[in-house]
Parts: sequence; C-alpha cells; structure tokens
Amino acid sequence: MAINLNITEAPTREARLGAITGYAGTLKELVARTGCGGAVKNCDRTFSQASSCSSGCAQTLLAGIVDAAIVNHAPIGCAGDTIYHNIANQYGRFYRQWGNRNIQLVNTNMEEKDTVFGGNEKLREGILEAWRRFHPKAIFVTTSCASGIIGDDIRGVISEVEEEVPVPVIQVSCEGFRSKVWASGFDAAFHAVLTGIVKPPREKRPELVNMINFRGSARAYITRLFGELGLEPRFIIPFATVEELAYVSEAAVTATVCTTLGSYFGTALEEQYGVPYVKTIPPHGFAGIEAWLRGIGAAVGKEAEVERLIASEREATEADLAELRRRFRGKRAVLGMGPSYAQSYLGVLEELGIEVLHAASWHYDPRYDYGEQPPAIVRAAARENDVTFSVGDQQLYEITNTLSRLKPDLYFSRHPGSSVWAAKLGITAVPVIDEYTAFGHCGLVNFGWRIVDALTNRNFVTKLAQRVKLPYSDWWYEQDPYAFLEKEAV
Amino acid sequence: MSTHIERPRYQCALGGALVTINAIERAVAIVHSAPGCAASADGAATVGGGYWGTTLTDGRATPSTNLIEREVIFGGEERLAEQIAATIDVVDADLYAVITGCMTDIIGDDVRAVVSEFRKQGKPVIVAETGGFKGDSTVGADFIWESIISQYLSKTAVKDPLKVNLFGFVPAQDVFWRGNLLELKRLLARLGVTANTFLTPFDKIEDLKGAADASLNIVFSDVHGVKPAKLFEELHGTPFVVEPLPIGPTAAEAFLRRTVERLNLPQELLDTVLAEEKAHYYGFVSPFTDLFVDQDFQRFGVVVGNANYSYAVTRFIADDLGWIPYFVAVTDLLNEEQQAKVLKRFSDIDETLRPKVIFETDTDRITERLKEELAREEDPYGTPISPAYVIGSNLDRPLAAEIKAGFFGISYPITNRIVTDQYYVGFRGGLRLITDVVSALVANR
Repeated sequence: MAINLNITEAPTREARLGAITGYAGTLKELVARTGCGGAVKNCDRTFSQASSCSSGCAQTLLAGIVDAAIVNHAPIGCAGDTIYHNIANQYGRFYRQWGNRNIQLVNTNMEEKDTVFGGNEKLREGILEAWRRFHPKAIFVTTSCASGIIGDDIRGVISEVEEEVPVPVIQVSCEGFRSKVWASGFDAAFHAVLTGIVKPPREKRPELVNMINFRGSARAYITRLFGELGLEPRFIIPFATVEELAYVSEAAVTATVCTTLGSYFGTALEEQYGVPYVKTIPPHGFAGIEAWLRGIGAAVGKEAEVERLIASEREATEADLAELRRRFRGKRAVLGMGPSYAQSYLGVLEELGIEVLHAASWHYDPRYDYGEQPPAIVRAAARENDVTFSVGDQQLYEITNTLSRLKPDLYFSRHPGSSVWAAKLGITAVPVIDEYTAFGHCGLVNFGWRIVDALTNRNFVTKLAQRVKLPYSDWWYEQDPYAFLEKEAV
Repeated sequence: MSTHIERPRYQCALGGALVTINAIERAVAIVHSAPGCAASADGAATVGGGYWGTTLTDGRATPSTNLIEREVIFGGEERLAEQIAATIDVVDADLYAVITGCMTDIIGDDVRAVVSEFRKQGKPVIVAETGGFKGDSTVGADFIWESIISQYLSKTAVKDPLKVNLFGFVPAQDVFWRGNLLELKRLLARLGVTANTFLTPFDKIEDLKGAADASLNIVFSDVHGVKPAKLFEELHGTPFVVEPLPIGPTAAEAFLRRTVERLNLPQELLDTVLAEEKAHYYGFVSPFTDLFVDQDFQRFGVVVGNANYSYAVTRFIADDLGWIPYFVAVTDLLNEEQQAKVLKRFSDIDETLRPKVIFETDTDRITERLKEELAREEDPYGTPISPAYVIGSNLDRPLAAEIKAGFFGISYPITNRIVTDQYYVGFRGGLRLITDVVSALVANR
C-alpha cells in the first residue's frame, strides 16, 4: 500500500508493516513464514526490561537538522535524553569544524495541572519562544505520552500560530505508548519532513544522491566512491539544512546505509516524486556494497562504471580479507542489533569467516513499505545452515541467558547499553555504533582488523568478569531464554 | 506560571527515583510506564553524569512493564502484578521498588493495591508514584526516599549516638555524589562518627534497612532531601539538620565544628583532624601559589548549578580561592519557599563578595540575564568582568566562549570527562577543585 502523505501521523510499524518485537525460532522459519505477505503473531512478554521509544528516535534525527528547532511538547523527562543528542551534535559539529553549539530544542515542561487542564497554551508559547529564540527555518513539534493521552490539539495550536511564525511548523507524532517498535519514531520524523518540508523539484539533478544515514562518519569515503561514478552524495537528515531537505525531490536516486531507517523515506520519495529508492541489501561487507552500488548504478544508468569501481575496490582489499578469514577460523559469535544490521551482519560475519551462533533482532519488519521482505534476511536465510533467531526490543535478560549458555568468543551489538552485559560476562564485545562500520570493501577489512585487536588483548573483560556478578538469579540461568515470551498458538 | 525549558538539566520525577534506586546496592527498580521512559531517564542520568554507567539491573536492563495503547485503554494493573512476580524470580535483589511514569499516573492504575499484595506475602517491594509531570529528578528522589523511609526501614527504639545518615544527594544531579559521600564518610570517621551514605558502591543494603538507629540525619541541601528527612523524624524519631555542601577548607571546618558540637564529640580530636586536613590542603596549595600569582589567575566567577552546588562553589571561590563571585544562576525548579532558603544561604557571604543570584533553568535565558547584568555597568575597557571564569555544566560552554571566559564543568550534565571517584567536598575536595579549575586555564599550553 502506498505511503499516505495526506495524514498527519505516520501509522506505526505494527499497523503498517506487521512489525513484531516478540519471536523465538530460527532464521529460515521466520523468513519462510513471513514470505509472500505472510505474517507472524507478535508474542508478548510477561517479564520485560526497558526498551526505547519513538520520541528519542524522532528527535535524534530532527535535532540534527542544522537550522531547524524542536518544540518537545512533554514533561521535562522526555527531553532528558537530549543530553546525548547534544553529544552527537557536538561531535558531529567538531568533526565538520563548525564550532560548538547546542541543539535547538525547547521542552514545554508539562506539569500535573497541564495534564488536567490541557497543555495547548504552553505549546503555543513554546512554539513562539522557539521562533523568537532560534529563528529556525522550520519548527518540529514532537508529542509525548502525556500530550497524547490528554488529547492536546496540536494541529489546532499550530494553525493558530501560523500568522506569527513565518516558517513551517510541523507535528511529529511520536508518543512512546503508540508503538513498541522505536523505529516508528524514524518514520514519524521522516513523515514530518515529507509533509512539511519537502517540495516538488525545481529541476532534476542527475548527479545527486540522497544518502540516508545517522552521523555520516564515512563522508569522505562515500564522496570518493560516488565521485568515481560522477555522483554527489547529500547526507540526510542529521547535519543537513532545511533547504537541502526541501529539494531531496530533485535527486537522481535515494540510498540508505540502514534499511530500517531509510525505507519509509526512500519509498515515499519514489512514490511521490519518482526518485528511485535502492532496495538492495545494506552496503556492509563485499556482498553488501556490491549489490548496493549496482542498485545505484542501475538507477542512474552507470552499470559499467560501477563494475569497474567494484573490481578495483575488491582487488585492493581481497588479500586482507583472506588473511582475516584465516585468523578468524573457529571463532564463534552472537549478535544483537536492530533488524537492518542484524540481517546485514549475518552476511558480514560470514564473509569474515566468523560463525554466528545466534542472532537477536530488536524488532522485525516482515515487509517494507514497498511491499517486499527485507532483502538482507532473505539472503541470509538462503544459506545452507540455519541459525537460531530471536526478536525482542533489546530484552537483555534473554541475551544474557543466551550468552551464558553459548559462551561465544565475541558479541556484536548495535544500540547503546547492550554490549556492557556481555563484557561483564567476560565476553569480548565489539559494538557497531558507527553506522558505517564494515561499510564497503575497505570498511569490512577495517572492521576485521578491529576484531583482531579486540581478540588480541581480552584482559579487561576477563578480569572484570571475575569481579562482577550479574544481577540475575541462578534460577534464571537455568530457564529457557524465552521462558517469559508467550507461546504462539499455531 | 512554569514555562518551557530549553534542554533540561535534569530528568523527570521518574528519573530521579530511578537513579536513586540504581545507586543503592541490591535494590532494583520496576518501572511501570511506557517503553522508552526507563531507558531515556537512565541514559540521560548515566551519560550526563560523567558517564556513570550501569551497576545492577539498571540501564537498558531495568525491569519495565513497557505499556502501550492497549493498557492506556484497559489499565496496566494486571501487567504490573505479572511483572513484579517475574522480577522477583529473575533478578536477585533485596529491595524491589515500583516507580511509575506519566502514562500510568494519568490513567490512574492503583499501583499501591498491586504492591500491597506482594507486601502481604512478605516480599520486599515498595512503591512510589513518580509520574514525570510531577517535577524534576530532585522531586522524584524525594518521593522514593519517602517510600523507602515509610515502607522499608525497620523500626527501632535504640539510637546510636555516634551514627548519622547523610541525605540530600541525587545521583547524577550531583555528578560527584559517590566521591563526595565517601569523603564525608572519611572525615566523619576521623571524628569517631559512623556515617551511612547508602548511595555508593560500597554501601550495604542492611545499613539502609537499619538506618533508623542513627541519632542524626544530615541533609546536605537546603531544598533536596528535606521532605524525606522530616518524614524520617516523624516516623523514626531521628532529628535532622541542614548543611550546605562543604567545599574547601573554610566550609569544611565550619561543618566539622558544628557537627562536633551537635554530637558532643571531643574538642581535642577535632583540633587534630582540622590541623592535619589543613596541612594536606596547604601542603599542595602553597607551591601552587607560584603559578597562581605569577599568572594573575584571579577571576570573576560566574557559577551555574543546582541549589547545592551554586552556593557551595560560590562560597569556595569567595572564601578560599580569593576570586570575585559576580553572577550565579541556580538551575533547579524551585518554589518560592525553596528559593528563599537558597537566597538566605547566599546572604551569609560577605556583602562585598556577594554575587547577583538568579533562579533560571533555561540555558539561553541565563546568558541573556548575564548580558543584561553586564549592560547595566558602564565599562570603558570592554567588559566589567574581565577576566571571567564560568563554573557550570557542559551546556554552559557556549556562554563561557561568548564572554571569553575560562570554563570548567561541575554541574550536571558533564559529558566531556569521565567521573569515577572524584569529589569536591571537604579539604581535599577543595584542593581538587582548585586543581581542576586552574588546570583548565593551562590546558592549551
């Protein structure tokens, strides 16, 4: 079903895509059952640990737009995590040599009386204050559980301030209780950009690539790769300007480093403005980058140039990869990541010759908005060996139980707050926090050497584990890791 | 009327309760709220608190009911009961604290009834309603302390004359709470007093359970922890006193003198302790004087911090460092009565050194107010406070840059260094503060 840009709120991933956060089984089984439009029932848990919410995901993207501001219509706690959005912002600005500046966000400080009498007036003032203070090119109004449950009229307030605020003021519906899939917050942010910022193209720019990412550490690498194809990347949406976002419709193609992040925006741009969206597996490892570059090449008619580029990149790195595979012989790993990375890294670790004993995915989308199953999981499931696969919104008691049973050499994780528990078990943890880890041929080799380094000296975690007792009862370690996951009635 | 706030310098009430429980060994929180609350609050506190990190089942492993739309409609009580029972099985702890978020407080789950079922079975479960809209972290810390005091502490009629409890610390809001508590404990131990600190990695939960036998509660804040101390007195008969955070030799000496008087401790012992601690301080400060004086490191002080730190730091730079306090922004959300208490404290500072004090939590408005203040003074040479120095939080770096001032972060959030066992209280803490503040002035050499 096409993405509907005539509504204020992007429907949640559960509603749109049949996304789930509870499953335990095998990779092949999950892929088989969710192929051809099939679905699996989400299994709830009777014990759960902290997850994340849409609000954080929406704000981490939007707070990165350099000349926009956010009005977070919420109690103060919902803006507490802007502390780390600010860290990402300051790091990013430092590396771009842009000078130190805080993110532009005000919180409306909803209090008890506002939950009784409504918070519309505070929101109105918050928007006017954000305008007065920052003079941004756009203002995003992010919602919260509190504003959602009491039913504040966000649209009404926005239309009231239109005359006083001469820039787009856009609602971002990211109430935490609406979805267990925090990535729904990415969609909420992209939906706001699509409905409030993006304009029809003034002209088509055949060299321009919309490059959807988070922090953009591989800018130089990608600029070089694209340069050899006569293309030019525009990194979105953090560190982009409102003006740049307004004309993403002019690009020749949209690509993403993370299909969980980019599929909504990419699909919408394709449907709305005819900008093709590259639907290949993500660009990690040799297979990933090659499929992805070919996808870009096909979209812009540069197939031959892409083949030449792939050949030279491959040649420069093949010997290193062979050496890495030799070193990793017999090494075993568990991985826990968001769906795009969990699926993609099954391939990455196979290329490095590291055996994956179990993969955990923080949620699972049975299909993307363009109607197909995620290509990376289809590819991973096509391998000869099956692997146990679980879906959970970062339920670390399940992960800890699994790690203590399997005792892998390595734990690969993406998303903060997960790798620490493996480290405390004495397992070498290599976090994949930078979205461009293992990106491309060079990236895969760099990642491989990073793993070699981690395995070369394991003293920190070995000694830590001797001193630290994890919080779980002995009873828990004797249970099945999914003892609290309700059984699916088949 | 309360108003909007740019990038808050705290978490919500839920966050303050959560980090307090997280800092208590073998206590575990059960968050009854939407999926993101626990991780957001904990993440903000542990990152902004100098990268504090996880201890027991906290961080992303915090037990949490993760309620969604369904429970908004049908209520979350059943889900909570199920979660408490499971948490007791899965997590090996001695105290389980149910704390709630906005969502559950708005939909009106009867969490007390759910928890009382477990309490009837003798399970160590307590509950506090900490909906985020009720206030900031300090309010939530007060809520959870009141619950601990009324629902967890053992009753006792016997008081130990040489035992005190230390209160007024909100983990992460005081980024240095662990080091500060340990140093206060060390100083008091030198006087023969046992101090319960509760919130360091070395505290035993039995000491919390048995805390009612202390003969005095010392609250190191004019505003935070006072309400729980009153409840403590009411329920357990232990009186309390309020003390400012004693940073530096002048404040620390005054604190120890008052304590000796209150607890009837021997004067000779105090004299020995004071002499030795001051000898340590001046043993290092004396040779540091070469740099300090030669480089003309006297500064105008701009202090931005919570009620506890803003006064304590100002006092230290006035009394010991010999700087000129110019402008102070107290950043917590305080009511009028609380503001009056904090202002009264500032009136203890000698008039010639008393700074302009404002109550403002919003970073950009602090800058505006400082500029207004500066604009009031004519200065043909540029700025009336040159050279200046900002002691604040990481959010105040742009302010320091704007007025070309030195900068050092001591208030939440601190994200540009790691905080482990550092502390600023006492004689040695004052020495540490001088060392850190002046180090920042020579850091680019």
